[in-house]
Amino acid sequence: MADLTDEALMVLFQKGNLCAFERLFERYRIPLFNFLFRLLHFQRESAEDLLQDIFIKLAKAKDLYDPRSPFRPWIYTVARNHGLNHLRSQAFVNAKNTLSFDALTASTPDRPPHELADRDDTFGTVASRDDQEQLEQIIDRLPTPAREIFLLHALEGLPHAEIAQVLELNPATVRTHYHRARAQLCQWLSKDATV
Amino acid sequence: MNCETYAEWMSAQLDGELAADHAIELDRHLAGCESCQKTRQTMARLAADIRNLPRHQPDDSAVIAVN
Repeated sequence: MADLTDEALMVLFQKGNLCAFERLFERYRIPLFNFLFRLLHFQRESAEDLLQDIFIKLAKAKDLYDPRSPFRPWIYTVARNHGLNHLRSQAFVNAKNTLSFDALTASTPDRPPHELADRDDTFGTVASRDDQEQLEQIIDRLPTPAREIFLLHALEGLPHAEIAQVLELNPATVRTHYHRARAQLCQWLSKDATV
Repeated sequence: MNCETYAEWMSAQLDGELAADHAIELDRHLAGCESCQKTRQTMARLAADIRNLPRHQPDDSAVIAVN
């Protein structure tokens, strides 16, 4: 079963084969978690909750998947939509809190206040940890959709054509955003290095 | 043309997507721009730095709950 394509596994799962579902879950558990974790600005628990939701919904709505369409962009589209909905709902809560505590704060925070406390603590070697954390934070500063495109291409390895399907953009537009994002990151990193 | 655009061209060049005439113009600019030379060095390192970023692991309880 290990050499079956994602689409073949989905067909088996649609026929009731639970091992096929488990195989898909194992294949995508870590990539989707990493994408969601970064998309949600390092909110670990939320990313874990969304990861579960996605696979529970996939299990319940397996018949909605059309096996003629590629699985990977489909599952990343589901993940992205879940992630963006979560961020929107948080923005709504933050906006409400800002209205309630208008006298206490001059501006709406861009991120939930617990963001830094929720940051993951599984960076690599101690020697490189600061550099890795700095790089993660700089990637996190990229605007939308450049950040999503950079995460999907540079970190998750999706080709531009698949990202175009996930984001419903032209592949040329995705490519332009990617080069712009990489250029922006390098300029920020160059400036930080000179400080 | 500004340094932001040249940086985008550098990215395209790394992926083999830069048109030949742009490559010539980029080389000409790089010869005289220290800032862009630094950006290019950073960009060359970035791919390795990205590869070295950790793969974060979801909590095992998430696995059990789905299964």
